[in-house]
Amino acid sequence: MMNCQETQQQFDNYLDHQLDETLQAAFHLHLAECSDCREALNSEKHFRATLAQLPVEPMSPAFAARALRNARSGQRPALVPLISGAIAASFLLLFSFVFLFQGAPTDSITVALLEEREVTLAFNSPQPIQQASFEIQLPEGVEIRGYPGKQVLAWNGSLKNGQNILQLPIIVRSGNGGALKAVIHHQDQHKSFSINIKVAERNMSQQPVTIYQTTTI
Amino acid sequence: MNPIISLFNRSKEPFEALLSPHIDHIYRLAYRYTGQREGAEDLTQELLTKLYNRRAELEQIEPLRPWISRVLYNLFIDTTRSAARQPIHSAADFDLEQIEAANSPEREVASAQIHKKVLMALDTLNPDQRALMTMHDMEGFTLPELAELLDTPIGTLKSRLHRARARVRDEINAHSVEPFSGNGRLER
Repeated sequence: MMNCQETQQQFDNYLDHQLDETLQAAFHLHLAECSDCREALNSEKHFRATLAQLPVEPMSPAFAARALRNARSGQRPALVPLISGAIAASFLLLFSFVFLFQGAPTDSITVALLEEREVTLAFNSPQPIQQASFEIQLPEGVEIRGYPGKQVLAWNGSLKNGQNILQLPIIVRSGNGGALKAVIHHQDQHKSFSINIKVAERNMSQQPVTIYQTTTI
Repeated sequence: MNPIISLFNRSKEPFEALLSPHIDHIYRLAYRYTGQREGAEDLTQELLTKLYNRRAELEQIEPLRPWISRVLYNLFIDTTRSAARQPIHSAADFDLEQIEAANSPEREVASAQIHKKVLMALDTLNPDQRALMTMHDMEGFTLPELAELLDTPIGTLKSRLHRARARVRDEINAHSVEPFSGNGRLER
């Protein structure tokens, strides 16, 4: 006859229907006589049930159609380049800096609370740079979609000759905004630039923002 | 392909017709992997973009869903490993109370709190453990199905699942008395 330890060692097999008839009979026999193991098995069942019942937040409206359409056009998630150094190689370092909003130079944007806005950093590099590090610093309460709670995002990558684009879908969760700072390090030099994010009442609508950075490393 | 689906999607492009019936499944799995909507949508988008490049191959695969599930699993593992990211955060940001408390008596709020603890515990798993628990313990893939899907022996899957569950349980119990502690279960 199984003891408690042997019985509890078989919980996973029992719940996954992996016990053969002989073991299952012994398993049931022990359970019939052991309230501690019955309680432990119930706890395990409760654990599994809780896992199975974890809710799934619905996808954004029209996401499915948009995702299929994007797949056809080859579009990938905006932040994928942040994930991989190899992909980050597609970023652009601009050697000049112009910060535009609706076509005009500016150094600040206004974002409604909880509204997602896309900020674009456009870099022009006159030459390829193989090893650079990038850092995005966000003010408190501001985050980039897909990276909740992270106020600093950093990665390594390289830059190709010409223009590259980094899209930052930002959301103001709370607070009063502040400076969004982008820093590029190359060898012992670095360049940084920032924009001021102001927070407006929700539902305030604005056009996408493009920042052009022109600098020399 | 299912003829009803084919008829329903007659007006769509072949790629959309082929993938549309599976989008919910893909998103759901991706959500389980990442623990949040934005991450799930990004992962879904990345998968669809990759699949579009293999659309000719897709038409030859039957059944398609297990194959897609495997590609998504590999994509999730590759993405998280290459990024050297921790399992994608969810619980800290994911406001379960907001989702579940809409009609909600205290009991449901308590349930949401338990779910949040479980999500936080799941965040401590490595991507492979999380994906495995997702498919088996949340989405109901059986061990034989997973063995075929992941080309991994059942014994190996059992061990990995056991370690993953133990870690989740330990994390939950480290931060609360309930619901999975004090059951007298022996160390295994």
